Amino acid sequence: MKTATTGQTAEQIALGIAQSELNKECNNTQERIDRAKARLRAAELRVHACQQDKLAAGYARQGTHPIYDGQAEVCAGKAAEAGSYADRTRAQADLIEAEAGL
Amino acid sequence: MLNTAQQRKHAELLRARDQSPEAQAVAAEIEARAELEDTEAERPVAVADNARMVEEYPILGKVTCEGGKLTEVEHPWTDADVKRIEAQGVMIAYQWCHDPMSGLRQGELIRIWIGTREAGPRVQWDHSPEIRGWSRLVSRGNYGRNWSHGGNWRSDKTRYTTLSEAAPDLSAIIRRK
Repeated sequence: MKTATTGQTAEQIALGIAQSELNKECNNTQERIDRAKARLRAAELRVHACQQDKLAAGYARQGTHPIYDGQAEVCAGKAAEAGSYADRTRAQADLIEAEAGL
Repeated sequence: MLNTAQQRKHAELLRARDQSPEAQAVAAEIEARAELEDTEAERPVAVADNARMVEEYPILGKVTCEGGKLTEVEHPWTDADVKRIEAQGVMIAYQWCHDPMSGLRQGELIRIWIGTREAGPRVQWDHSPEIRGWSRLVSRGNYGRNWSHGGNWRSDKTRYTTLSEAAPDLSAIIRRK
């Protein structure tokens, strides 16, 4: 039996509905994969930020035991630099999560 | 190698055991990687009841580790063993991976060094897959009191599968009855 408006048979309509459901499911799967990728990227960046924090802490520690004149200031500067890199890395992780709606 | 459900359990144990920001970040990374792998394979999310890893190492035999912590050693190296070989002028040093930043590799044995009072570091066992095995070392003589791993040395490129191939004399001393 054909419908008056589109001229499609009932099987063709059912097939169309099934195809559309399948497409929706595929989109959902791809969406889930993209979200998982974004979550992983953000987590990797947070680990990287922790490494940068450790670097900053190392410089700060060295600065408390200077072995030449002015080393304390040099170390303090490097510690601040590494600390700001860590802040930037964390902000990048936040941005990735926000963009992916996590 | 742990499956994704075991990786989640490993992350859970790591979180509970180590409150440092590094450990928490690494646990989150392990979970995120497991999630991606499961999503791509269209597997449901699951958490295993254990994250046991069993590795076979020289001298120690089968070593079980869970959540980055050693739980069982087949042939533990005891104080009596240390005294026995030190009396014969031999010392062993084990390098374990304790850094939470190493993720799933935490708890693994990385290297073994064996040295003598007279010659310093003599052989080294390496866990990394590319160079896994024993290699001979020649010390520069600046090993001080750390006969097994102190100072500087050079190693030859030859890899040996067993300690008895690399240093039969040391192997005979170390072998337990």
